[in-house]
Amino acid sequence: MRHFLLGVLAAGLFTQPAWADIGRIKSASGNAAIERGGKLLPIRPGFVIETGDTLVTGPRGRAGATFVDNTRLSAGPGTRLTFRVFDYNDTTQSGRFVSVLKKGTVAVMSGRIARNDPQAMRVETPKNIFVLRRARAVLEVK
Amino acid sequence: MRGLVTKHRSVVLLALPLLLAGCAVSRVALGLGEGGEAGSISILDGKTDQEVAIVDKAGAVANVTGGSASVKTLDSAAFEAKYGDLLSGLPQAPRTFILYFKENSVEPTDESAALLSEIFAEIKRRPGADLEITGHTDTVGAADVNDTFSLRRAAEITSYLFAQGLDKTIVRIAGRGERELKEQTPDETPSAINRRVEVIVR
Repeated sequence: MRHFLLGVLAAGLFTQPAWADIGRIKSASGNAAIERGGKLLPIRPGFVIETGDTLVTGPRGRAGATFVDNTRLSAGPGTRLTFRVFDYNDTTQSGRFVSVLKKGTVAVMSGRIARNDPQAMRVETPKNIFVLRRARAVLEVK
Repeated sequence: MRGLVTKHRSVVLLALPLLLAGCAVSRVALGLGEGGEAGSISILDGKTDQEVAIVDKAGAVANVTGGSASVKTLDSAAFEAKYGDLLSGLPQAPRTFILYFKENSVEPTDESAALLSEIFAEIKRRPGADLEITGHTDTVGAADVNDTFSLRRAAEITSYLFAQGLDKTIVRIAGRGERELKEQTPDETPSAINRRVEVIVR
């Protein structure tokens, strides 16, 4: 029983990191949502993104977001993009940002994390890893 | 019977990579950065972590799957036609306002106080806006003390902005200490230009 309770407490700690707010939705149209803990949450400008969230867009969906390190991105239709790791230090402005693009298209304008460490901003696709260094680019998975 | 099972399994094993391969081609198209520089993207094989290609010219488009990559370069018109729509869908670049303070005070100078209405107008202009309020010091004093001091100055201007009606749920505060000097000075140099708070509207 005690182990069970400890497990529940630990799970609570890991699913709610101290700095939950990693970025915000700035635009959304068509079918666009954030998948969090198995639930689809409707999004609109101002929606707060957390680590582990997946941005999902439908056949006509689009969504844009700006992160706390000034990284900006915009997802096209039919996209599935997970923000897997986001570590960021407000004082040094460095950290690590790893996203997983399973399918679809995303435009990215890199921010401070990429500027301060050329290895820190990564987008993983099913067979490759893209390491972004101060780039404005479109990534696509077919 | 045993032969049938083995055969069935081998069909599954053959089909699996084909199914995965159907969703395995990635493409990257590198645009011109906002400062006019192209930047660069390194492409790694997801399995081995080895670099397969680097794209570092505006207009470069790479098609990759695992360890193989092909890179071509589009002229700016072709690039714009193909990717301009998505790139222009990016949220607006953040806008930075710089506030200066009266000597040894957390009260903004008259010029800076006049900026406040512009900050509020900018927030209204941006759907889902959020703010970063970052304090900076000059090089007088120890670096770690300045980290704390810059955060305090940011916190003080933040409570001042709250009193002016700023939404508390959209603010993040930070102290950069003496890391990001506006005016390059030697250590232990007083500078009114470096003692500042930046309000970044995203």
